[in-house]
Amino acid sequence: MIEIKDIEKSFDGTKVLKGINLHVNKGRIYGLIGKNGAGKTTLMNIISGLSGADKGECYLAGEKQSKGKILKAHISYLPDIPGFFDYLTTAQYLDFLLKDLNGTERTAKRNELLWLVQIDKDRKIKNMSRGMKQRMGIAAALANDPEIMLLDEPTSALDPAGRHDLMAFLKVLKEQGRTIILSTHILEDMEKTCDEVGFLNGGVISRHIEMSDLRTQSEGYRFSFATPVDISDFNAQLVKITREGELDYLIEPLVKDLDTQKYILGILEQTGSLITSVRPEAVTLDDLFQEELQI
Amino acid sequence: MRSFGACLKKDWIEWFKTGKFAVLTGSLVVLAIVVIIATLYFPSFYKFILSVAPSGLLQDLNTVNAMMTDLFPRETLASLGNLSANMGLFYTLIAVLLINWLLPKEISSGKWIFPKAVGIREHHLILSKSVACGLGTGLPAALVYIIYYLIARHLIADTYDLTSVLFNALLLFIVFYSAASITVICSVLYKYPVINAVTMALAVMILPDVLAFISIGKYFPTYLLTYVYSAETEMVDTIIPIAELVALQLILMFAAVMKSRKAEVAR
Repeated sequence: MIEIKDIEKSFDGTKVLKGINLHVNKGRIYGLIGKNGAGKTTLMNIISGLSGADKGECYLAGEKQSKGKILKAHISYLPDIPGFFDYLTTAQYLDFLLKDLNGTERTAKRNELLWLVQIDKDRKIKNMSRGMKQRMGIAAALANDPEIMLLDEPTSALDPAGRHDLMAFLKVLKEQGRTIILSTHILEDMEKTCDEVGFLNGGVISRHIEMSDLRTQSEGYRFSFATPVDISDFNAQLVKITREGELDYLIEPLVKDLDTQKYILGILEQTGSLITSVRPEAVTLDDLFQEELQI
Repeated sequence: MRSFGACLKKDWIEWFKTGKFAVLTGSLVVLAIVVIIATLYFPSFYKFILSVAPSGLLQDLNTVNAMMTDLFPRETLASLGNLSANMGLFYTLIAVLLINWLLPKEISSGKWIFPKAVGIREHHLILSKSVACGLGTGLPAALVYIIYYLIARHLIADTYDLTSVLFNALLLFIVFYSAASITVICSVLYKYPVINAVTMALAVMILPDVLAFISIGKYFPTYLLTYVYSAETEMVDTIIPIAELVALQLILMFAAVMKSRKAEVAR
């Protein structure tokens, strides 16, 4: 659905994007991570057609994208701070965007969009909080029934409940067959929502992760004991045990089956020590982000 | 057409909801009231001053009286010229200040992103804004000019005819519509919108008087204002300036659309 080849972009002599290569299949949510100023917004501007690349190509649904071009595939872009004609009410603004629909259809579609984002139709946009404007931006981004959605920090102004609702909503949009590129600094949201994630670092996608792989990468448990224990004798074919302190061990099953589980339970029983806490341990996006950026 | 219609509706709502209609119409009404009051009551006020002034001031006051009688003549033809000249000075400045920054702010704050996603293009957005601002600026000027005559002819000597008044009102509409429209269009062309504001204000406020002294001045668009100020009668002389205004707007619109399409979106 989205194919990007060797995209380069410079501003005032500084090369921000140095050869971006990206492929996103239809109906997937792709997360874009990077430090501030890495070029996430620049890349989204190029994909959306708001800006042109200096080099490289971008194809959306098989059609080549360029600055200002209107493609057959409907694309919408939600910037981090959406701009509205804020002298209008929410209903007036959506009616403006839904100009191609006839009266009854337009009213129905407008009301549907406002219901989706839980905003009143007579609300003046200039009186809305930043969070409400963000939700209004989502409604506006859905006005053209997009096949491809680009969301730049869509949760930045939302409270935790709002973030949760939006992430759930994105999954609904994905199930409708839409393709979404999402950038956010809240990695927890990205872990829960995205199918794949790309790290934008040094002007390129330096690392690509399938979230399904990440979720199975490590599923160990961190045990804490009441008294010092010694787990030095174990089957290295089945289990990896790392001592992290006098009372703490990280136990990672290398084979995920019932026999390994029984083996681990046997090891724990042999310690004869009271287990004071058990915490699941998995590699997170934050771990990889810090590793990638060498923080 | 739907895109342009939607944009025009949106801009028309802006004109009223953001107070521009109130400010511009209010300024015209104030201007008209000041002109008619000065015309009607300055002589009475002058007589009162004469009755209480020291004798040494009489000569100066007589000079002032002569000047004020020239500035505020008690007959409709000249009084309308007076009104329109003050419109050209003050009304233009207010209109330019109100509308010059509308489009640059829309563009820089990303307000065009959602409209462009639904197929609205730069030419829709620029044209609708110029038409809305043009109508919003030109119509009140024409209406106030006509209403001023209809009232003034009952208060002072009526030395004009309604046909000429209506024609002049049409010219004022064209001039102020064009001034507003060109201000909007050119605000996209200039890197610094303040230069556009200054250029437009000076062009309308000063050029008509300057070009009135040159024989070829009647072939410039500013002649339309000179025509109204001076209550000229050769209507055919307005054809070339009107055609120039139309052509100028079309050329500038084309340039503005081309420039806005090439502009990089703010990061």
